[in-house]
Amino acid sequence: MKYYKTIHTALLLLTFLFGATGCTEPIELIGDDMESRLVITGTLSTEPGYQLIEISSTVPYFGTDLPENIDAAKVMLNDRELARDAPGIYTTGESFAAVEGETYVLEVWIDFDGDGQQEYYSATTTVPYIHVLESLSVRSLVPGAVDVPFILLAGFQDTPGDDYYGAALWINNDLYSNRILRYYVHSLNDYSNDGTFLRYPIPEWIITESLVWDNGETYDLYSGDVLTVELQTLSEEYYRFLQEAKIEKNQHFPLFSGPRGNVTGNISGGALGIFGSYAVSRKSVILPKCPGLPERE
Amino acid sequence: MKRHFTAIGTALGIFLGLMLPATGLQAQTTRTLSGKVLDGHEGEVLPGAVVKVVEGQNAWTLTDTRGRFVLNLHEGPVKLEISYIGYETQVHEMVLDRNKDTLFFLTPLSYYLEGVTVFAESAGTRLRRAEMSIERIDAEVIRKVPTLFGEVDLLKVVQMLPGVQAASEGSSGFHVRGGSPDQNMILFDNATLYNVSHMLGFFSIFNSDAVSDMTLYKGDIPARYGGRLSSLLDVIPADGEGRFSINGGIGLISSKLAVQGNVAGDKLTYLVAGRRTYADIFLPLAKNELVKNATIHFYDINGRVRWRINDNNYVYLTLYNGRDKFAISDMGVKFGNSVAAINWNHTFSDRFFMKVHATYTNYDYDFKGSTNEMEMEWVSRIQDAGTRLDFTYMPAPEHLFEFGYTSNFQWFQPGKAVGTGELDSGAQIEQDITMSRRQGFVNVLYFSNEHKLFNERMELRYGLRLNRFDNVGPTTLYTVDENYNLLEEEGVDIASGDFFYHQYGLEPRLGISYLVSPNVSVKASYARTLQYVHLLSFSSAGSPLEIWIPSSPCIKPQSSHQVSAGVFATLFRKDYEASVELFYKDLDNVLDFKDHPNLLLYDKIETELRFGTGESYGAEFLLRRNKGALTGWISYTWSRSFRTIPGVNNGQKYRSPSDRPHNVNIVLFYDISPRMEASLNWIYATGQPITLPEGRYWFYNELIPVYTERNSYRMADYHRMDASLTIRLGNMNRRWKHSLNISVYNLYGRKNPWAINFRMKPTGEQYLEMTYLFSVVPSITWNFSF
Repeated sequence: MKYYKTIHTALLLLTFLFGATGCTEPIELIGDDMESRLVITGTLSTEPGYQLIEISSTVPYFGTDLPENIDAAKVMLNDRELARDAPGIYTTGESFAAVEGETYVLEVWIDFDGDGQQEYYSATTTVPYIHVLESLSVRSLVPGAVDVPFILLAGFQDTPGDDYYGAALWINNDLYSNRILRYYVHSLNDYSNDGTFLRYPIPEWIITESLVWDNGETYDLYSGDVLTVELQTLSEEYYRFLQEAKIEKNQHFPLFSGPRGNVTGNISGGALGIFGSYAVSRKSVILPKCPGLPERE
Repeated sequence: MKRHFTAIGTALGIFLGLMLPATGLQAQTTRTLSGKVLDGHEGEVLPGAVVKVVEGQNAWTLTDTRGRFVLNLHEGPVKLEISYIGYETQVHEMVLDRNKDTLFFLTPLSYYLEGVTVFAESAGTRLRRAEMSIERIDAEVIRKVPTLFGEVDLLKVVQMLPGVQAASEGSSGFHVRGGSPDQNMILFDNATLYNVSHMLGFFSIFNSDAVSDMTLYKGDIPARYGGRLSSLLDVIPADGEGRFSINGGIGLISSKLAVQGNVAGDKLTYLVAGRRTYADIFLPLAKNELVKNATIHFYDINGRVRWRINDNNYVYLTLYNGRDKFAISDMGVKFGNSVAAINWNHTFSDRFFMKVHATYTNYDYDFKGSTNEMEMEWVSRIQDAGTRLDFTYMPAPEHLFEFGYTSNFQWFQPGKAVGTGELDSGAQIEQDITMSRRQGFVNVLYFSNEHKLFNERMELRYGLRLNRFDNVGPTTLYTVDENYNLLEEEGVDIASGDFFYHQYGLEPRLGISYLVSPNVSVKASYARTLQYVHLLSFSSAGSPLEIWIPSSPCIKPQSSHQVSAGVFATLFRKDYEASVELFYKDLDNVLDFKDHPNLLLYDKIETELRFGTGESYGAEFLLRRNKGALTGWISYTWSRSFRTIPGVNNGQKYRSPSDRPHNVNIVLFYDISPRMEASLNWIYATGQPITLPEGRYWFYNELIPVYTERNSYRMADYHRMDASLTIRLGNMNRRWKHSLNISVYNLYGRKNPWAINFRMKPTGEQYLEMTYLFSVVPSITWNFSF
């Protein structure tokens, strides 16, 4: 969404402009507490390693309780039972890698409603094919210059048809995209570029001397720092889930945001959550020396 | 284009051919009695005066906007009764042995003896007319209602009428019988208005000094009008009448001035009215630094000229221009309307009239702002050009035919945003987002007849509209499949002037009124309405930055069938009126947004909309007192409004944003003495539906909200009380008059919610926060006239 900055700027300004006229006051929500619902989340990656399924339940939105994991009676992945690693956490072996093009079926048996009978929940995902990240470079937003702000250019061959991409950023082996709000999601169905080699500018992270970090802090960048982008080719259901979750977690502007709604998952039986898959490719780039970035001492 | 006019002209000719022979043959010689009804003191015409034959024949009529009337009567002696609210009723006897044209001068009732009748037509007239679900209010009533910030506001009065609710606190938008704000057609001298708000909706664009009266049709819309599903608000501009005069008012945050008069006798009259707010003069008192330096004001100016070429030809010109400016720090928004309307009224004969109208409306906004990274400007514009050709033909006292042709061309520039940045190096960065222009063209033929039957105990009204809607280029056309996926990612470019989509529509209208007794009537009506333009409203709070778009191949016209029935009665010598009215609306192709829509500046909006059905139903109860020291009305409306839209709320029926089951309006006027009058109103409405999360779960280190149903919660109920006192100062018999108006808006300081936000405590606990706009708002205004 290349116009994200412009639109986000507009929303911030307008909300401040119109919101400045009103007064505010906390209010209580009057209504029955929602019954707790089952949540099953899990993703399979083409990268070898533990792949996990997490089972939990919802808690009231306006409360201090945080969701906690719960154990299932059995969790199967393509007819193989997964091992319980921790409360509500079920994993594959450490050498497991999802196979491109394969379909995986997740099955969960759990007595969630406490009636003594196991309920059955399932979901499927077909692992997408890898789009190899062939190059990663930085480009200045100042035409002709080599200076911040930079944008990351991901070079890869798109395939004809609908493709769903995600991207995560590491900075010197720290996972910067450790929250969904710092993770990039985009679908590429643009006819004019479909099936061509792309040098795709990723607008999610504008590289300057510092980036927003957790708890109001900043992550400072220096020339020589290594930026690694993990290009993920997402299964369609996983892409939709991530995109909608990002919308829900992004700032809502009362005058300018559309209606809220549940994030669309693919778990049967009325459970919330997602079972998806993605194919992984990584590339790194070193931040160059430039006037806008300090050097590490 | 030419082929359309040829077809329309042919159809119009056919209509005329069918209508004219319907006069029938009169068994007796018929004579025409015509004339004017005027104010005996000022000489002003009195529109809506009743001229009635009281003996020998059953015939009556109302004077038109020029105070003229025409009656076709049997030759012989005639006894007439002429009546008008606030004036002494007169009885005249004459012998009608030839066609006659005469003048009647009515004497105003002494203010010391009787209270003011509230509405613009008599209770008896309302009882008899086939039209139902109609409220007519004249400017005098509008001025008596308590004000917000001292500014008299027409739409605030509309929001107090039975079956009508404000869209939100402080908003000029309103819901009529469960309909959304965009389903209300608002006309000013037949010019279509799209955004009628000043200052984010706190005030409307209508200056009460420039308004003669307004009529709200809540469903039984006459065949000569259409284009919206829920209602028609027809605002009539005031003509400058009589001698030169100046009226004005100076209030706490706004002032206004109106000048009117005539040239060369009554050959040419004029009225110019303007107002401006200066709310920002108080902002330096605020604690907040940003608010201190803010700018908030609006101005508007109305002009009206009436040129009497001769007794059979009148030309009217109406002009309006208004602008708002709202700015804080480096950001601000300017928006406003411009309107121009010209009418030619021609009298062919005493039975056949013609009106020709041409109108133009422009609404635009311009938002500018800057952050550290970027400056941006966002503009949008709507233009509407229309023509009307209306004929009125009265072949006999029992028939009133109306027929004609209307045409409207609409240009929509939904949004264009340009973001620019200048870096330290001096290099420029620019992003340009332009939503495609869209154009709509609506042509309508209509006819209707008001048919009096059974000695005028029954009145039957029937009519039909034949519409054709066209989309016209230039635009980029996006079409979607049944799953709302784009068929062509880049869309299809349509060249300028190309017609690429059309829809025909029929809108039958039917109404019947039966006078059960002199004081009781029963009425029923049916109307089918079509709507070809749609408001993409981001929230019910309303904003000047809304987007209108026309119908298109993937955005079908909205349609409605509405049936109404009711019992109406006058009580205690017509001092009181009571009514119970039931209604049911069945809606099709209503639109809503999908969950998580991409809204702002998104050209492929067809992918974000979902379409389905809706229904609204309810009952309106009204008790109104028209005469005496204490006048006003009390109304209670119970109504429900739902939507069923595949892809929204899991396809299950859900409350529409205008579903507010209980609504009470109490509006009272009390004449304390000849010098003092007071007014009080109390409004209550069930809280607005909203969607709130009920649960949450972890995903990717974030707590994801869980919702149950759309609009399953409600904000707190809305209620407030307003009061005002008007004190007439000085010598009331002198030409120079002045008065003081003291108003209190929201007398008991109810904190009515305007928006609900989510906030988080330092502990991480989420909570709800309400934004409200007003506490107690007093105001004082000094009004004068000369």
